[in-house]
Amino acid sequence: MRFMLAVILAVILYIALFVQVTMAQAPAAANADRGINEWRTVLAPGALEGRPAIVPVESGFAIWADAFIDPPWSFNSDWVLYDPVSDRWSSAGDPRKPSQLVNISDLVSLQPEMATMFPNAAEPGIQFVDGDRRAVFLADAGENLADHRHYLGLKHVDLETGLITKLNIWYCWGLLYSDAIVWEFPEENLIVSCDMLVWQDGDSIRTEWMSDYIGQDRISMLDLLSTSPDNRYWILREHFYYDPWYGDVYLYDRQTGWITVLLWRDWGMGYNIAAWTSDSTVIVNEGDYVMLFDTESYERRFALEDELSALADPQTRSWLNSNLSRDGQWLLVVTDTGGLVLGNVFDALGIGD
Amino acid sequence: MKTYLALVWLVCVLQVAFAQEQSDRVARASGAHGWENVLPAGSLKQRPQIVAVDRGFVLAAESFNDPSWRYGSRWQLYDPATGRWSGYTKPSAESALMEVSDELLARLDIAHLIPDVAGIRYQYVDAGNKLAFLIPDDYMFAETSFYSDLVIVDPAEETATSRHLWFCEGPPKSELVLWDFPEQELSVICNLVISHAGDSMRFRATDAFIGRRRPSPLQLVSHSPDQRYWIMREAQFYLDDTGDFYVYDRHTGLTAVLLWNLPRKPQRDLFVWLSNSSVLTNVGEYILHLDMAMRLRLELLREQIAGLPGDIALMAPTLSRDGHWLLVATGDGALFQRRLSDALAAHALPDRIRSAD
Repeated sequence: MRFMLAVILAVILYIALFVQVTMAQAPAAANADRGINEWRTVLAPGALEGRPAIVPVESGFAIWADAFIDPPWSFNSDWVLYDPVSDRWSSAGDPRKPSQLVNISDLVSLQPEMATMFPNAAEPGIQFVDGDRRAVFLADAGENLADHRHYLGLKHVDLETGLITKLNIWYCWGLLYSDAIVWEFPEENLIVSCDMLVWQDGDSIRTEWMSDYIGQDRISMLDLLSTSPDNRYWILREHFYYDPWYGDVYLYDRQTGWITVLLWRDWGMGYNIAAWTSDSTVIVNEGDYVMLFDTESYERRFALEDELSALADPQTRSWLNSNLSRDGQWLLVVTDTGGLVLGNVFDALGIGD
Repeated sequence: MKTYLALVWLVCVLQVAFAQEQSDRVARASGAHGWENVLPAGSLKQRPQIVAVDRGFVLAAESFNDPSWRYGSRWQLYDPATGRWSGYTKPSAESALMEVSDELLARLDIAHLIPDVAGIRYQYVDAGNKLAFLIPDDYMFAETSFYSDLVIVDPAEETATSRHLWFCEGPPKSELVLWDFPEQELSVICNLVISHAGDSMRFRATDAFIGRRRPSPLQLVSHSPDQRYWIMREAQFYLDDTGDFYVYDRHTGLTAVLLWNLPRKPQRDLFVWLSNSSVLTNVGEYILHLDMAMRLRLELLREQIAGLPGDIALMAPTLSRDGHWLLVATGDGALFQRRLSDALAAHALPDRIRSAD
């Protein structure tokens, strides 16, 4: 009898365990069968209003809390973080403060003798360059036009020699949400400030406009959007003064000087559009589609055009607010109905784990 | 008699020696390493008219300071391979567009298909199976030709299809605005691409064809021999001299920047294709060599051109039609020439490129 009861109990436990495991696997199985034509609904329609600011960050996407119609979403922070892998939400810090910028007071406390070298400006952006041997200061002109930033000048402070070099900047466009316009390429003693290249050649500093650097004879503004991990390729974006959302996007090969039109000019294109999956492969979010570009074979692969088109309101033909994750795997899209959907770019492009 | 013959021989020897000495003196006087001095300083006026032709270069006689050059013919032909000068009659500007004649109308029996418009011109397209007629607009602006309509006539089917043109700019020297790509039943007129799909025709603006969203005129200025690559020039309506040059790969759909927006344009009707994927063009300050297959971009002779005497702003480099020679008139009125093959060889280019020379 005891044996029978034990068998019955074991069978019941087995069935219960089987049901539990099956139910736990169901969402995963549903996702696996989902295919690339379907989106994962992250938030139902009506959850968001307007065109919320979404910033790709290391662990997902930071979303401006005020965009949520339901107040509890604020998490008591101005930004909330969505992790597409775990599907979890949490509060987030301001993604617009880049980690490479240091606080001037921290620097002064570490090296008080440097205090006199710093520009007399309120909280100038600082970034270490040249293997941390120099600091770059961007003196804010205090003028802002939409998301333009104007800077009066750029100061280089050599922390070892105390040498200060000032470079006037005619016009400078600050990357949205970053406050940082300086990119460092230590292998060539090269940094980029706005659309001005700064070469550090020993103790001397030389400057060159980005447009000259790539062979344009007429000064025009070019923003450096992204670089390949090995810094060989630059993604540059042309823009006009009065219409910052307008301009072609180029891929510049620094080794050969070859320039390929990555995307033709279009409006509504943001700055966080590129994610490198290797030194030679980049995923680009055009807005209406995503594209995989191989800089070695020059092959292009397009995906999600139909899927994104289906999300857009055919009446208004408005731009979708789509955001590519930093690793290129996810596309988070705000629908015209105020919903939030997530697409797997790797699946759509046929690349994967 | 022997004495007479000896004298004649002596005179001949002296003459040859003198000619050789003169030649050496001129070559030595060039002072520009690697350049061959064709005419000494002071020979030419500033900004001489030099045009590349099939057999070399022609110079307008009135560009010479020495009046003796101006007699005989209005143009002087210079052959860089032999160093010889001869008179030249410059052909009238070639145009691929032809006047409509009674003979054509009678031969093809298409009179009833052609609009009755004065000055209408045509060109064969679709491997000669169809005729494209351009109906001129009254409005002209500088070098720009405007056409109000395009009519494609199919004599076999006795059909005429009209297409309204918003804007059309013809290259200045040829008035050619039509290119035919029969392998894809594709022709380009101005910035309009026409696909012939059987009996029907489809139209698309060039910018849309290459993936642009915003209509802007893109002119087809040259194409590779196998028609895989198109060299296109961006044009602005009010500023003809402004616009980037692109190379469009019709196989992959990729576009590369050939030249950025330049105030001084290359001779846009002179792109010398060394192979199906390799092209030369004269930018002025340098010769640009582009190899699309290798994605190789070389700026040749920049320093050598800058090293020539005189103000570089007054220099007039001209590339020969076969791409073998560069002829440069310097600001001091001299004329120099140089073989391009040396410059190409210096960059250790693949054999197939060198052999094309």
